[in-house]
Amino acid sequence: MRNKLNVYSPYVIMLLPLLVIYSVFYIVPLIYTAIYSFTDWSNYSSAIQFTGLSNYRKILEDNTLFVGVKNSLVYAISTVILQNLIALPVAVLLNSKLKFRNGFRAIFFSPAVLSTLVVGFLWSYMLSSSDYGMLNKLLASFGIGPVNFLGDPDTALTAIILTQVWQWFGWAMVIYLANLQSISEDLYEAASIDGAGRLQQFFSITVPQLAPAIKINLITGMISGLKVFDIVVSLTKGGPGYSTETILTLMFSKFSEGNYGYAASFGIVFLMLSLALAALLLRTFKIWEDRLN
Amino acid sequence: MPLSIINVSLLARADFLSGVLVEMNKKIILLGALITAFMIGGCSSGSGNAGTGNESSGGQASKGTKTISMIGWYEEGIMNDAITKINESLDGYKLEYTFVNLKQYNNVLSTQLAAGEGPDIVMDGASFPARIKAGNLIDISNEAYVADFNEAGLALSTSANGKVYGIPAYGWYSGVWYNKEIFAKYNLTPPQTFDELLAVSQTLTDNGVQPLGFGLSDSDTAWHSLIGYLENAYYNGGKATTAFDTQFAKGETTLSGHLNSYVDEWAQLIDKGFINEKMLGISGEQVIPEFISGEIAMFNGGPWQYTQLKESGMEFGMFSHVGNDKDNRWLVGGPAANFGINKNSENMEGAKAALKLFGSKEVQQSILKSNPGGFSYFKGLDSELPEEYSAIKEILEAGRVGVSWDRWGTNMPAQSLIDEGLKQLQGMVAGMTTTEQFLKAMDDKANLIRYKD
Repeated sequence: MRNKLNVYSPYVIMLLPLLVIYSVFYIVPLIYTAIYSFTDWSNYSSAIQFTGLSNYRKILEDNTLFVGVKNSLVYAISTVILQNLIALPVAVLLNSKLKFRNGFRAIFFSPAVLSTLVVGFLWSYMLSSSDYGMLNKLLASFGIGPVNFLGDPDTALTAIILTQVWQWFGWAMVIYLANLQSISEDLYEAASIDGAGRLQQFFSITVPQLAPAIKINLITGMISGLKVFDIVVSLTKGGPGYSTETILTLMFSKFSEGNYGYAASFGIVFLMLSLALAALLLRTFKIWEDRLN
Repeated sequence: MPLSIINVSLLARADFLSGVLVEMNKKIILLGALITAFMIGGCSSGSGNAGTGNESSGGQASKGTKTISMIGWYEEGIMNDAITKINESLDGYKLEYTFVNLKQYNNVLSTQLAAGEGPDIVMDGASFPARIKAGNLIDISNEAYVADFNEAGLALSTSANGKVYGIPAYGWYSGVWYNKEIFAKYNLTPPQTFDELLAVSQTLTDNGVQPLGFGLSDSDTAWHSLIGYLENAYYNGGKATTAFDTQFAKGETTLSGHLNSYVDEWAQLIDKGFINEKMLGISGEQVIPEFISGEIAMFNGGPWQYTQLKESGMEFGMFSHVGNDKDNRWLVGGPAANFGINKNSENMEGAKAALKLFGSKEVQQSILKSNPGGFSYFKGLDSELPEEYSAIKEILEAGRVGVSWDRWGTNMPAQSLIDEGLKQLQGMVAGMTTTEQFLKAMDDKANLIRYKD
């Protein structure tokens, strides 16, 4: 027992600073958020009173929450699917002995280095329906448009999704590339000897061997998709109307209104939703991995 | 090498290594403990000083002086002269002003005040009544300088029981900027009624000029247009008086069922295509270059855009929001910002001295000078209006300036209702929302956010 302590204590001690940071900036605020979600704490009252489940009841009566949940799910699922559908074949292509492949890798990855807010402001000018909107100018040269990308409730969310697929598919591509480089060439050689074609090799060797990368990309993609905030703020601010509001933009607006207790209950609902989705994804992957093994 | 010697050698090396590890363990433990202690110390000292502003910081205040803190959304260039004048007269204190972007201002101030901290001098606009309601400010009703301001200027800083908690900086207003060259080209004069506005817009459209410019993706210009029409046609020229808003704020009446026909009247701007879906994809910032380049003939705005327009070299002017009575036109506006004293200020005497100086004629004059086109609520202090404001001079002199949300603010966080209004207006322009749905949504929102005693 003492020996075990001796072995582990350096690691425990080294983890302490991280644990303190994590506690101060995550665990403690989370506990406070949960407590405040049962209160009427707001800008406009000097005393905080316990109100039980009333904030959660108010959420159920608030139609905007359902819009936010729907938009967040549509955004998360669409971006994850599109990013990975593009990233996977691109990664396979850039893993082959292609000329300038490092240059292509850098180009595709570079948008992920930029701040999402900056990307949002740049795209707001490119997608603008004003006479200065670059994309509409381009479409006009082909006799198309103009398209009101961000001003039409039917296209605004799609426009936001596409900007984020553009920005982040390179990130997913890099993760796939890292995984691809660890797949043994022997597997492909053996498959070739057995007469498997390129496509069969891709689905029977590459995809199963990429399970760890797919898992990382899907889970991190879903979680970051659910917490989408900055790109919506910079492109549409949730509009037109409520057509692009997400859970976090709604939570932020409740917070801005000074209804801290109500905003806290939004935060807790969001956390529960994220945990449930993450658990569902992990379970699905576990089943898939078990089948592969 | 014999095996035994190798074993002995390895054992000796293992002993040596374990000794090194034990030493390393001690160092690692010490290092880890130091980092942890440093972080805990850092966190605690950081939170202790945040926002109190009771110490001279950054070497800016000289030895022996205490710092009076203040944050605001006016850029430092606008406030510098006033702050300098105050500091020249403050004894033993130094007023330090920090600029915070308007987009973050409400959250920054709200969270500081909610934590029992915040600046010594509290500056706020439409949310000032909310600060009074939350008990963030001290009562200054008995201060002599309060009497130097007229009643309209104290509207936002006076509580329901008549106590005064702040003084205004200056008066803001919005109207409609127009391109004089385009108007001259088509023999148009600034409209004085809503029908004239529709006619002017139609003439411009017929001649291939976009009449009105609105950046509906992020700005509140169309909201100003609607509120301006209501201020003229409903509150001051129609059936109601401004008391309607006070009743609405208290929950004694609803917007739906009273404003419908007026909103429908204004919505002709949407029906006729003068406000359209294309504008939903444009930000407020993107409209101004189009106005300057002559692609748009009119856009809703205020004195805060004056310098940018003036520097462009274009010929422009401002006319008032319009209703149905050209002799009773009103501008949308009110006290731009109010200054009060944080009840948790640790420099109460210094904060009181600074606020007294904010209420002096010299400082009020300085603030007014830094905001060309603005007007003052300080009795006897007149502003010099540039020529571009000639069409609204008489309206300003008559004091016909008001806005609904200042009246709503007496019993709800008005900004929340404004935000809802913007959302619903976007819905109307997109064709998703009817007038009745718009007003009903406003009533529902008001029900959610009214202050509860």
